[in-house]
Order: sequence, then structure tokens, then C-alpha cells
Amino acid sequence: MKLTLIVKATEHCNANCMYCSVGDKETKKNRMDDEVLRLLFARIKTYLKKKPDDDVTITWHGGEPLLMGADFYRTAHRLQGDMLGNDAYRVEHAFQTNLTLFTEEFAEVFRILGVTSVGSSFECHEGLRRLSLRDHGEAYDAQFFQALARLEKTGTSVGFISVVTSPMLDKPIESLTYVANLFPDRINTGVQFNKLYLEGEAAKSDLHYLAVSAADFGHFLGKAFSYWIKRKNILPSVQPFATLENHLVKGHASLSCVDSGSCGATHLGIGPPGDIYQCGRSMDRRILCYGNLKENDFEDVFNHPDKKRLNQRSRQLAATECSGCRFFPHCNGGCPVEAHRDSGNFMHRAPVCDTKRVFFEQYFEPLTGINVSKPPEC
Amino acid sequence: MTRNERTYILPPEPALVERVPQGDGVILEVQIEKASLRKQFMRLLPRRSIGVQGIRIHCKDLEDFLAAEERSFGHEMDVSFNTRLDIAEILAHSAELENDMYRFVLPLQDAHDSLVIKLLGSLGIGILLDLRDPLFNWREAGELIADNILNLAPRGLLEPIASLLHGLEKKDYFLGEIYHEDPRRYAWVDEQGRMALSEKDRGAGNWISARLGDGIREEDLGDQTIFHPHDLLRRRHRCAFCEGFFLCRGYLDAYGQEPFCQGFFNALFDAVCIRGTKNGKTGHETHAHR
Repeated sequence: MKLTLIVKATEHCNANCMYCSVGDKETKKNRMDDEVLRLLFARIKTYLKKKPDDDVTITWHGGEPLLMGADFYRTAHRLQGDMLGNDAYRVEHAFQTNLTLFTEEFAEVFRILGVTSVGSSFECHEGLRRLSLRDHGEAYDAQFFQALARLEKTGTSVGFISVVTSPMLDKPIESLTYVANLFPDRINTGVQFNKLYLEGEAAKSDLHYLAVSAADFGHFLGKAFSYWIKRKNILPSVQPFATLENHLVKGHASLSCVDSGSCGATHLGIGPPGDIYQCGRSMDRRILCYGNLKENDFEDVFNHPDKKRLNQRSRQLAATECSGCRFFPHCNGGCPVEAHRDSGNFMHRAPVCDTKRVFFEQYFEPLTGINVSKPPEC
Repeated sequence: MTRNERTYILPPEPALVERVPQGDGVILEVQIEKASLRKQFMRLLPRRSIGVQGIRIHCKDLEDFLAAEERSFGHEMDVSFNTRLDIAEILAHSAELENDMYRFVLPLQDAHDSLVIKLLGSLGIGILLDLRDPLFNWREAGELIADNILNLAPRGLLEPIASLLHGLEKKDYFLGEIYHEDPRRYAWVDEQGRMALSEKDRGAGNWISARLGDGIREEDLGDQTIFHPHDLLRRRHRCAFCEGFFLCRGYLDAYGQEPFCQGFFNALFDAVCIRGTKNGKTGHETHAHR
């Protein structure tokens, strides 16, 4: 198994994107210090010793992870080698960054950490990403594209998340084509569409005009899928389509964390002071906090009552709210943190039913001829 | 050729060849009159070892080209003509035309040109379509693409179709490369040793400050007009929403061909996807050529 640690070494960010899910970043300027970083690798060391068949992926997230500076990651690399010894190779690194601070120095950091592909995010719709409140997007975009040109020269590839907001709803193909065009490397580049997640900044009432209903998101995905299925040979990997196709047609791919129903067993989030959460989203919402690196190792966390409840969530939903739903195997009730935002209880289902129904019934099934209730034998 | 090496496209002046930095390559650019090709080429042979990567030959017509006493010098040759080729003349000289080492750079302005291209292709002659031509006929190109990709009969390589198909599986492809117009890799030099970073910029007298023999700096790239993909993306230019942008990267827009060229890429990918559906791949693996 692979344990994914979403590590937010800072929740602070150099940008002021309108739909940021962190929110209140001005009050969240604390940074992970070297002592917490050392503790993180100490906990990883213990985990790897106890789980000889497992690996760990550290996804450096934020806030903006590059704000921590190159030296922080050099220290992480040194600690990984010094503390994990022969197990150091069992830890992989990934970055989710807005890229605007990417320099040659970080190219070197990526190289020593073995990062060959970074995660970023961008959309065709202008003006939502800003460096400051006075920026209408021009400054952000200028910095982003300078960094992208730099990144291109290093040979590192990128996976882009595109956050779908209301202005994009009638432009699904343009949205896909544009993001796919951001990087020329079609072999290693990926695109993922996420519905605007109403958390943090995005939850402010004056930004609700950007919101997208679950059904509208289903139509957006469906129209993009209609294009993707004709052009997948020339497009980069597009999520959730590629995973769905593998899941339903080839039967061997695992679903993403929000759809798998197993995130309780695979993910943890670590905050700047060492707080241990379920994931990055739960940290943004300040729910599902299981402890702190100073007091708890990962084994304690996996025995936390909330973690144990979370691991029962999919089974419980299948017997209750989601009973009889033919799409349940493909969403498992959705993201528990989104469920909490919607209902105040992470054990409920997330509001993704209309998205799945619209997407599968009106687009996926007619276009592929696959009945998702009865996927073909592999 | 590694990323750091540069190729200089030079007029036929031995003194210029001497100034090309060691380790870099040259493409010699030759105007020929009847039967003078060999003489001109011999005059160009550099006195020191230099990597000749190709020859660009400009001929008046097919007769001029055929009259040259020798048409192969062990280098790839791109041959362009001042006049349109005549079908009857091609048929009359079909046996003489067969040669692996040259490629005809041809316009595609109408059905006649399309027929010439198909005819030369059937003789096994490689062709490079000049997509930069302001009179390029994009409708004819669409038909030619479908024929080239879906027709399984052997024929000469049709560029840039073949290289675009190859580009689908490359990490970093740029359409300008096939016209030796990637500013990151080529420099165009005039008789005085002034340098531009594309043929277009040389034609417009858009010189960079460095002269042949000086190193070309990263900042010089800002003075060229061919390669600005990130600017187009940032401005949400129509090219940024084109299916073919990841291959073209705005190159054809620099020649004023956008938006007509978008249909060209649609036709290309339609054919690729039809072919790919049958093969389970992008389809170019079985692309027929001689």
C-alpha cells in the first residue's frame, strides 16, 4: 500500500485566488520548522519499519509550498537520507504548487528529491487567479507563464487541475483544449477537472456566482468527455475520464481519493505545527484532526476513533443513504470532507449524486455503450 | 543534435562558413542556374571540419534542377522552385527524379498543386508543403491529409504531416523545426554575417545584436517573432484553444495563417483518430512511405 501524506509546510500563499479553499491565509502564516520536519521523518521511519510492504508519498501542498524556500526542501532531502537510511528510497515526493515562484533553484530541488512531474492548477477563464487584491489576473498570469517556460526547459512535466466555475460551464471543450495546451509534453502531462469547492475564500457569499451545481458539473464533464473520447489518442491523460475508463473498461485502476471510499486507509494531512489531519481538505476545514506529530505516531492516528469511523463510511453508506444506487461503486459516497461541508457530518454522502447521474446516464453510457451497473468482464 | 547546438543557415560564402562556432552545424543555401550546382557546392566546401546538415537549393524550374550534372552530395537537400511544376514535365522525367536525398518544397494553392504533390508522392519523392505560403489552400490540404494518412499505398514522405504525426509522441515538438525556424536551434545569416532567428525575421531585417561567430544569448530570443507560445496562452489568443497548438505553438499564426490552419489540425486529428481507432494507436506507426 502507498500512504499519501499531504504536507502543508505552510498554509500561507503568495497568491490571492478568488476560489482558494484555504481562506484566511493572512492568519495562517506559520511555517513548519526544522524540528517538526525532523519529527515528520521520524514518524515516517517508524511507519516504514512497521509496514515493510508499504511506501510513502509526501505531497508538498499549501498554501504555496515554494514559499518555504529551496533550503527547506534540501533539509527534507538530507533528513530523509540521514534518518531513513536504507528505507529512504521508499519515500517519494510530489508538489502541488501554483508555480509562480518556480526558479532554477527549485528545479535543482525537484531533481534531488526525484520529482519528475509537479501538480499545478490553471484555467482558461481569466481573472480568478491573482497575486494581490489589486491584480486582475495579469500579474499572476505573467509570473505563471514565465515559470512555465522555465519548467519546460528542465524537462519536468506537469499535471494541471482546472477548477470548473460558472463562466466555464458553456466552454467544456475550450477549457480542456486550453489546459491541455499549457504544456507541450502530451505523454507525461495530465489534466484534471474539479468542481469549485466552496470552502475558504470560495465560500464567501459574494463569490457564490462562481458556484457550479452538481448537475451542471455533470453536464460539463459529459461534454468534455464527448470530445475526449474522440480525441483521447492525441490528448494528455484527462481525469476523471482516464481513470473511469480504466476502472470500467479495464477493471484495474483505482479511483481517486474522493471516489475510492478508502481515503481513510491511504491519506493523512500534516499541518505546519505538526497537526495530523485526515487530508489537506480536512485541514482547510479544521475537521478530522487526529493528533500531532509531537505526541502521536501514524499507528496512533490509524487507531483514532474518527479514522476508524471513516474507514466504515463506505460500507455504512452502501447500506443506508446510497443503498441501491447503481453509481455507488464509482463514487462510494464522495469526499467525506465535502459531505461535512454539506451536512455537518462526514459520515453522510457528499453532494455528488447529480454529477454522477448526469454524467453516466446522459454521456458516459450512451457514448461508450457500457452499462456502469454491469461493467464488462476484463 | 543536442539542445545546446545551433544550426546556421548560410548563403554560399566560404568566409561565413569559417566563422561558424565549432560544434555547431550549417545548412547551406544555394541558388542554382543550369548545371552550376556542383560548381557552386565545391566552392562552398569548408576548409575545416564542419557539420553540414543539409542544403537548401533554390531553382528556377524543374528543368534547371534536372540539368545540374550532379544532384546528390551526400546531404539532405530541400529543393524549391520559382515556378510551379508542370505535370507533363514530371511524367516525362519520372525516371530521372528518383532520388532518396532530396525533398521538394512545394506550394499548395489549388487542385493542380494537389495533383503535382500526389504524382510526385507516387514516384516516392519526399515533399514538404509550405504551410507558410499566404496563398496556401487549406481546403485542399484537408483532403490531402486524409488521403495521406488513410491511404495505405506506398508513397514518398509528405511533410510536415509525417513529422506532425511523429510529434504526437514527442515531449517537445515544434512545427517550425521542419522549416528550420525554431529560434532555439537555428539562426539565419545574411552575406554580411548578420543574424536573425528565423527566415521570416531575416526577410524582415529583424537582426539580433550578435553576429555570426558571437554566442547567441538567451535574451536574443526575445527579439524573434516566431516562437511565443506562452504569450499566446497568457493572452488567451485563439491559437491557445486550437487542437494543434501543442505541435504548432503559434508558428502558423506568426505567418498570418490563423484561423485557417485550425481546420488543418482538425482534419489531421480526425484522420489520426480514425486510423488510431483501427490500430489502437495514433496510427502513424504504419504510415506508408517508400
